[in-house]
Amino acid sequence: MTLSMSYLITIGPGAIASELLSWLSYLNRGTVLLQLLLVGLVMVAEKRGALRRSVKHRLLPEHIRVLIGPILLLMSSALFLLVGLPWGLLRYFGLLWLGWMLFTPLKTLLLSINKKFPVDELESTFLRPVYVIVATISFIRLMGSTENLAQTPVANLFGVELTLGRIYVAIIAIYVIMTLSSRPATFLAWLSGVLFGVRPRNRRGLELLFRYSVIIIGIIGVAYFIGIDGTAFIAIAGGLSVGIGFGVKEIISNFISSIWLLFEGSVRPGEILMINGDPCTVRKLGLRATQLRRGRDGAELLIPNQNFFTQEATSFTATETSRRDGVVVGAAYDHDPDIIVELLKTIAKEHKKVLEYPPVNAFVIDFAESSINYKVLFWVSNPLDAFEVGSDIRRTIWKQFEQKGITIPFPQRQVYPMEWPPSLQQSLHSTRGGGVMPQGIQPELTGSDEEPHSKA
Amino acid sequence: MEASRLCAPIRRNRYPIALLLSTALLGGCGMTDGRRSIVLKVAQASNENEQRTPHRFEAERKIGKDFQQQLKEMQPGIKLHPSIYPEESLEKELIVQTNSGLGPDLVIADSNQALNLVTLGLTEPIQLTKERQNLINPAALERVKTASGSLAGQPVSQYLQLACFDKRKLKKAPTTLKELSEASGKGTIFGMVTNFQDLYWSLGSFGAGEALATSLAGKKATVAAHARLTEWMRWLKASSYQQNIVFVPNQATLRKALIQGDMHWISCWSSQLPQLREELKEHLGIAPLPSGEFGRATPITRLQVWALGKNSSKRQRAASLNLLNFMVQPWAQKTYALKYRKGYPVNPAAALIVSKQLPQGFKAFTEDENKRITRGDAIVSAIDARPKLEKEIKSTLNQLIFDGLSPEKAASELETQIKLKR
Repeated sequence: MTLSMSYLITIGPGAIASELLSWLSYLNRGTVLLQLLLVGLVMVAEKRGALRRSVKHRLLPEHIRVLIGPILLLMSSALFLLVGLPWGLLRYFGLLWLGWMLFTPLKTLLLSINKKFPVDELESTFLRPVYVIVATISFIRLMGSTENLAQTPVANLFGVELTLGRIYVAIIAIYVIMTLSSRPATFLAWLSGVLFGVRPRNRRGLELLFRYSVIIIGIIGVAYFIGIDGTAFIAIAGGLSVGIGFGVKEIISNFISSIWLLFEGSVRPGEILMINGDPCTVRKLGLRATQLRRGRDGAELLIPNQNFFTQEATSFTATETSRRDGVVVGAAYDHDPDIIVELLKTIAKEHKKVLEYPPVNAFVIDFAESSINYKVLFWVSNPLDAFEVGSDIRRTIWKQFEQKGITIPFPQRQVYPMEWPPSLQQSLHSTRGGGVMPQGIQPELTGSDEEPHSKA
Repeated sequence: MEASRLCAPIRRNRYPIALLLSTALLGGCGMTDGRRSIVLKVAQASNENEQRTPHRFEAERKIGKDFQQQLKEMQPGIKLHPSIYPEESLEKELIVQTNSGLGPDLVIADSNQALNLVTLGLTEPIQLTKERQNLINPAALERVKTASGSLAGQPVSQYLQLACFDKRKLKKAPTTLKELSEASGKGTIFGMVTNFQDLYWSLGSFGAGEALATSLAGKKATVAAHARLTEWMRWLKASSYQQNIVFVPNQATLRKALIQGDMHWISCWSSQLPQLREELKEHLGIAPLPSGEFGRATPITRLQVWALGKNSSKRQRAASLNLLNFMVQPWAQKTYALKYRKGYPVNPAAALIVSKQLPQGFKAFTEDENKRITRGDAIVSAIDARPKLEKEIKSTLNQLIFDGLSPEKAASELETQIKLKR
């Protein structure tokens, strides 16, 4: 049975299906069924907690009680062996289960030896995948011949016959390359730091570049291993170009953007960018998207790489990291602007995170309705500190103004009810006041949309 | 409300119920395979010495697939599912599978291995009726007889050792060792394997087998027999000095050299003929191995034996026995021998029919020949069963062919090795 996908790629799952169906013939055998049923029963009992409940909590800790199921299977296999029945399946499943359950005690042991040991990473990236691979191969070996299945042709890619074994090895190899590529890349980046004095911040970008190189070389190596040669690569490239045109344009665009950005060095891990007015730190430059952490609320932002490539972005770390920020404050008209300006400069200068150079400066920026407005401008070395420094300076300004009797005026509003239409007496009263409202006191209408007299 | 109360126990026990249902369903599928045919798992041993290539087993797999198709027409109720293993690892794989109840229904191996497997309890001895036994050559049956007199399996076919040559380079294969030597002097390149089993054919030409058979029996060889063994060693040594007689470590290398044209004549096995035919097409020549002054060549044969697995269900066992019966009937013996042209029938009636139609090399393989080669098979199977002895003999032969070991010393060493390890 061959399902034709196109004239270049053919997939024939018939051989695998036939191999898998042949495994079902084992179910004709009573001894196999008996073993499988026993495994199923023990697993169901374990799942429903029957096994654990039967053992007193105080007697055995939890991580030992989870081993009851597999041990029960192993004991049953020994019993089967004694009575002369086939026992290997029970032992296989027992050992498989026991091995899986032993991860937890193993982790505990490793952590007790060294608390800093990256146990979780080791477990998820190495131990469990290796376990799954070993379990799969041993299972196939038990059911038939691993070589038989490995030599089963499943697809034909540009004239190259891909067997199941080659595909399996290729998947494992790609996984290993993807997982382990960071190690040599980190080493190379570190080496370039030592040898050529590359700064730590640039090293992270370099590391990513090395990693991509290792992955690309690895994937080409795997492709050659499975038999895809130069001609096939050209055919794949031809196919991909059509694919890129239609379906995967965005993915490729993001990937190319990430490579370009790395070379350009404008978006590197550790950079600080303004995204919608918020400073964000670049955490990771991925293949598709850049991961940023927003300083304001710690939110993780995932922004497609091509956004940085095609749209403008504000960086505070592209060439130098310092950032200028300002605080606007108003003081009453009574006070001499020179004094205020000097005071503001002093306050800003005294903050320990404000840079001495470029110097602090303060300006009168507006004669506003109720106050003279000033702006004090200062530089900080870390853009993420600007928000905090601004807050500190505002607090100090309030305290200093309070001490020195400088008032910060603000508009005040009085609300009083008014008759409408106004009686003659009231109208005369307001007219007698000169028609001018005291500063900051404005009448507010209640229950009407019409303009007050004073504005009319 | 009532319905939900009824469903509660089902819901509570949904895992065991699902397990039971799926097992029953899958079991049903496995039993009928959709078309009421039964799947028989077959484990087939392949000689690693002949398979050291990147696509090992490819040719065997191709033939296996074709055979499955052929069988489907004649035995629609049986579907074979073969797995090929290197001869060396078959035993280990069978132990793991049989202990789990997942052993094959049929095991295809050579006679020595079949005997070994039944001794280890990995296959069942087979009971053949008198009628069935009459269908099989008695010499072949003798080779699968265990110490207790039962049969380790049923012989189905036998593979012969032959001479394969490229007709473009060599018009006619040498019939004697003298002709071989002369042809090599004229530029024809001959290839042989440094394996004792693969070189055994040449012992007959010198009458050297007797010395080894005596040693195997634990006795001292006569002076004349020892002299003939030494003569054989001398011939080996002299051949190694010849520029155009090449010794290689395994059969696969030899075959590759013939296909690529680097060699013009090689000693080969009939089991590998399909591969050579595919590559050399009509240029492939097949001939009997050359004789010597003392007598004819004594090629050994490999018997293809079908043995019964240990774990089969009643239905699978019945189907296996049915298939075994079918395989030795004259029709099947004749048809498959002529179709694949790689093995000689074990059924004497079929052998008589096909011997005229099989290639040149097969013609010489008559009933008498079968009896004559029994001595060689006994010696070779004794060596096969002792890997350490096999290694020692190979080392002696290598030293003789490639190093400075003298033929006299090598002959004595070989006798001693066989006598000590018997």
